[in-house]
Amino acid sequence: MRLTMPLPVLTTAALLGTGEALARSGALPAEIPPVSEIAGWLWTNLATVDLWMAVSQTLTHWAVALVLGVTVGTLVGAAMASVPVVNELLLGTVEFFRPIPVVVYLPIMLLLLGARPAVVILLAAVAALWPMLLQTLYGVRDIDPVTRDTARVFGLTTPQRLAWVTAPSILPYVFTGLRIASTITLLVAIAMELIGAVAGLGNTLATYASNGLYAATYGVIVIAGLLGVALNAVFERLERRALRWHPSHRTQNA
Amino acid sequence: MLTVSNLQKTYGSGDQAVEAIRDLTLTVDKGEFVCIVGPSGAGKSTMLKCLCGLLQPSSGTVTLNGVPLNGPPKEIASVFQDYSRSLMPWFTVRRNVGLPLRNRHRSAADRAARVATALEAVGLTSFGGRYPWQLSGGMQQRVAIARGLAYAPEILLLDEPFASVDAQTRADLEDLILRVRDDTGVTMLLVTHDIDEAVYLADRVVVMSARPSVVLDTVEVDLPRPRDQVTTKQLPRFAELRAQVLTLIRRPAHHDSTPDHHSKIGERR
Amino acid sequence: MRIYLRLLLPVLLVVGWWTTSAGSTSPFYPPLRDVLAAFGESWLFARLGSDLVPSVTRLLVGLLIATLVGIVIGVALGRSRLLARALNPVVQFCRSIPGTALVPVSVVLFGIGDGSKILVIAFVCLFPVLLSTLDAVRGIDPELEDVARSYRLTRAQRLAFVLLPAAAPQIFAGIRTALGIAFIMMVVTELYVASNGVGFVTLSARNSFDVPQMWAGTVLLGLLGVTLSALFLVLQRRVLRWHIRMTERN
Repeated sequence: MRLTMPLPVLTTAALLGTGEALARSGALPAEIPPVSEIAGWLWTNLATVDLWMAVSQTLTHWAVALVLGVTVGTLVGAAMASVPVVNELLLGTVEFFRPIPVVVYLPIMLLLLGARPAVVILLAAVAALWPMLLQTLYGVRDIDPVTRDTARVFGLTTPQRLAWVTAPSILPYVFTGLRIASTITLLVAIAMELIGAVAGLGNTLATYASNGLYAATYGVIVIAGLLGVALNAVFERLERRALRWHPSHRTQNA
Repeated sequence: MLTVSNLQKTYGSGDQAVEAIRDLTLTVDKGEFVCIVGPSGAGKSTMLKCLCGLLQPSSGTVTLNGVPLNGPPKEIASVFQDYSRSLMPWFTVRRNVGLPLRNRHRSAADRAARVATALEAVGLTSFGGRYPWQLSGGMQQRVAIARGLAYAPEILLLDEPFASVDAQTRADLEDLILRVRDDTGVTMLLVTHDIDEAVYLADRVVVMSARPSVVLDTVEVDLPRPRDQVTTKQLPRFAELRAQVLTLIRRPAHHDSTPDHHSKIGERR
Repeated sequence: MRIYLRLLLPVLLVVGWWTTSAGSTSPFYPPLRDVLAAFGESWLFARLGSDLVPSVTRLLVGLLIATLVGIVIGVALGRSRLLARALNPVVQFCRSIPGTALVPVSVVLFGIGDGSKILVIAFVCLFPVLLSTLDAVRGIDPELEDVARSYRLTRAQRLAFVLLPAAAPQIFAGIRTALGIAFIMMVVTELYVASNGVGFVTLSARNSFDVPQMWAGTVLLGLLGVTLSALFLVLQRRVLRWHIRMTERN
């Protein structure tokens, strides 16, 4: 066990070293800078306002869109799952629009509303809405009938049932929805910034790449990747904390 | 002939070592029906996995017809305990039974004929096109038995094959196994924790101790054949044999015959 | 009654679009009649081969590469704990990069042609397939492997008859996620820079201020998303028929 601990570190270092060597020897095209140059760029620019400005702009787009999309998605999903008429009314439309990725609406939105942060947020929010809506829908539908009957037998009031039965039962689904929504929102936000030239990491990338600043381009990709890693980690931790009682997490703690 | 001598199996190493089997020696002759009984938690499944070549013993040898085992041999077929996990749900009954025959028989027609014969032997002729999950538990275990038979083994190893079916089905399957043995003459080695079952089926019952397992004793079953669920079990001799095995199992194990250095292996440095 | 209710909202949406746009004088919101005319003119014939086919081909080829490579690597990592540990940081990092961030680099490295787009689609779609395969292979019941080994199935047979079928439901879930991402990547690569494709036509219509064409392109992309998703479901239902029927029983 102790012997294999540094293995991931070693392999990662070896891969980075190989990349460095290949780039230095000229085996790679000039558009792929050596790892050390990317690291150097990151080192000198980590303290600059510009980079963090772009990160915070993207994070703002992501966060606002996620909150909007998740709220609307959860509400609509819950309404569909608990009120049959609403379900029948919306199901056809939901089934139709769900497989359409939001980037499809980008050109028309740029035409109608112009290249503005609000457009980025609007479309990214729609992207976050679908996974949330569907997971809520599945979650409420899949509540264990035994649990539901138990709640009824013990005469729980509707608010009590919602708080003690419905909410905990759908929580695993909500977290799955959140994780998917977070990833897709970041993906879409960066795409919008890239194409709409709205300030943020996407636009920064496009600028660097088209000006031939390759170390900077890869530096920003590294930042975007680390952002993704961090967001994944946050949501996984939240999930584990909130679902300690759930079978899929129980065994890990035992 | 399957010979096991001084089989010993320890999982893990150092402080975490768990000794499942301490010392097992037994011989299964051709055409014999041997049952191995032991309390739950004895290393029965571990032993079977060593016998069919899935596990390498820590020490001791397993030889088949004089040749030491090195991986699963083609002369042995296994029927596993949990039919719901040992059959492939994506294949029909026919394909499940035919799957192991791919390396034996080149011609598809040949394979189909053998599958049909095996399914007939377990009374599932008309279910070849079904999927395992469309069948009852007892029928699924019959599919697993048919798969073993189609393989045309010298020895059929059965690991608690009737542990997950209801009592009536269990009796039916026991009789099915006896009939198959009479028809094919295949050597049977069946592991169970059910003493009645062991005595009812076997020519010889090998009694194992709790972990770390040793062979406590061997009981020759001299009940007349063919056996019958009602009349055989009413015989006074059946009750005697049953009592004999039960006494062996309940007696605390004495490991005085085993070398001292095996004991408390987990605490040694 | 139920089916009418389901159709009510979509019908209302289309009727609403038609009536509100019918007398519209806004250049941004052309009458639906004009949009449909543009749709018929462009997408039913003229641009079918020149733009729709390249778009769909890039998407499918990219997805196919991602699926094949993802399954191969996923099986390898699922079988070898050591390999999985060794490559874990790299895989975790690469799967966390928002795929769209790679589009500018792909253009710098490989140009604006098909190869560049296919590669970036394949790279981004690789991870959902890889990770779901890895997860599925790790989760395979050891009992099934014992069966396969004790009946002396060869490695190839174990892969084809045991490992892959057992992992198939999860692999398909991964491919389905990948399909959604592939579609996003297809559109984004074409909107960023391209010389053909549905996204390219739609965005360049903006420059020539051909608004009905933009709406028509949007409608087409939407329909394409719906169609691809439906076709995938049909395929999944065929390949996983045993699994669907088994799950329905329980």
